[in-house]
Amino acid sequence: MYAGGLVKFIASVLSLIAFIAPIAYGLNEHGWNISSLITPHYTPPKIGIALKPSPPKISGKAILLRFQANNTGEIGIRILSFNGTACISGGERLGSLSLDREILLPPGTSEDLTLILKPSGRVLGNLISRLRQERYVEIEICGKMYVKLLGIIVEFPVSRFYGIRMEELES
Amino acid sequence: MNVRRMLTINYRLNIMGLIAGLFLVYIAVSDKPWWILIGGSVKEHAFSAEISPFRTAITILGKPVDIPIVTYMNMGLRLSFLLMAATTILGSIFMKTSWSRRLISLAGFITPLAFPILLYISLEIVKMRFGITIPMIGRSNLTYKMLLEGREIVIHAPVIAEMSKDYWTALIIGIPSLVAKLIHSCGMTHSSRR
Repeated sequence: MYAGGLVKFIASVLSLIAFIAPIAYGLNEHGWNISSLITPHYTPPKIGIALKPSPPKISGKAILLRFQANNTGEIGIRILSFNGTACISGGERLGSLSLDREILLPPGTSEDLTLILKPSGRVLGNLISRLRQERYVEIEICGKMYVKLLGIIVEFPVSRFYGIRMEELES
Repeated sequence: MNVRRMLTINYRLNIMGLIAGLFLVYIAVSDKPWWILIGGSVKEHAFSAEISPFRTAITILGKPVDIPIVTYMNMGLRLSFLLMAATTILGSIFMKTSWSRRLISLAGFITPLAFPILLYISLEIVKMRFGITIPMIGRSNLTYKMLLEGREIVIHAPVIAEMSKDYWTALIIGIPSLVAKLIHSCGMTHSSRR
């Protein structure tokens, strides 16, 4: 019985040492800093899209707000849709905005991104007359962009200004 | 009783103990995950977790998440398992001695049973702490809201979780550990009587 107890004791102690030893080694590796041992270490990849405005275009009763979208991150991004509104800075709502097509942006690539603004006839008329007078109108774009990256869909708010110059306006 | 006698070669060698010991070695050195979680599409994983008592691998957006304490605990469990395998094999070989029964380990049987319980508790902690409901088995759609530079970002992720084939294998091959312990106890009683 004595031998059995001793064997059990030795086996248990060895088992405990086998479990504790790597943790003690780890603690030593981390300078006995427990917080460093339990803190997760993670460096997220860079994710980003740079939107560079291009001259807008009038197409029928719609204004095409054009951008050059550049994937500045390390992960491929697919821009699925955009739901938002455009307002003239100062307040007047111009209309709703939508993305003309899905855009696939592998890392380091650029693609044309077009938001379709469909203002009502009166609002479009007001905008053009204001452009003729002031030569430059700044509009505010607000909304939500839906992008897909690595199989998940991310919805994030977008708020930015877009300047329209009379001389740049294509039709 | 005849089966017990047969499985221990007339109470001289615990064959099930030897098998259990070798299975323990196999489980300990196997680097395969017992539970797998994948977030994103089948082709592209936005995040993944591959977990077993001996290995933990977590990646988010293709980059690994390193939790040093978990790595060292996995290493410790692996060493403990190897030691228990050695004692089980030793106890099975020296079956006739009075102390051999103490060396037969039930770790191979208990660990696969304890694993889903601990996993469930961990997932409940994640749910309470971060508000993320991760299924233990099956598919679901995870929605998570986070603030980034003062703006609310909403993430919609399809999630698949499963207990791997290697977990079920570990669960099945843990049974010889229990049989070895039972046979050994009975064998010892029998040999003591003799």
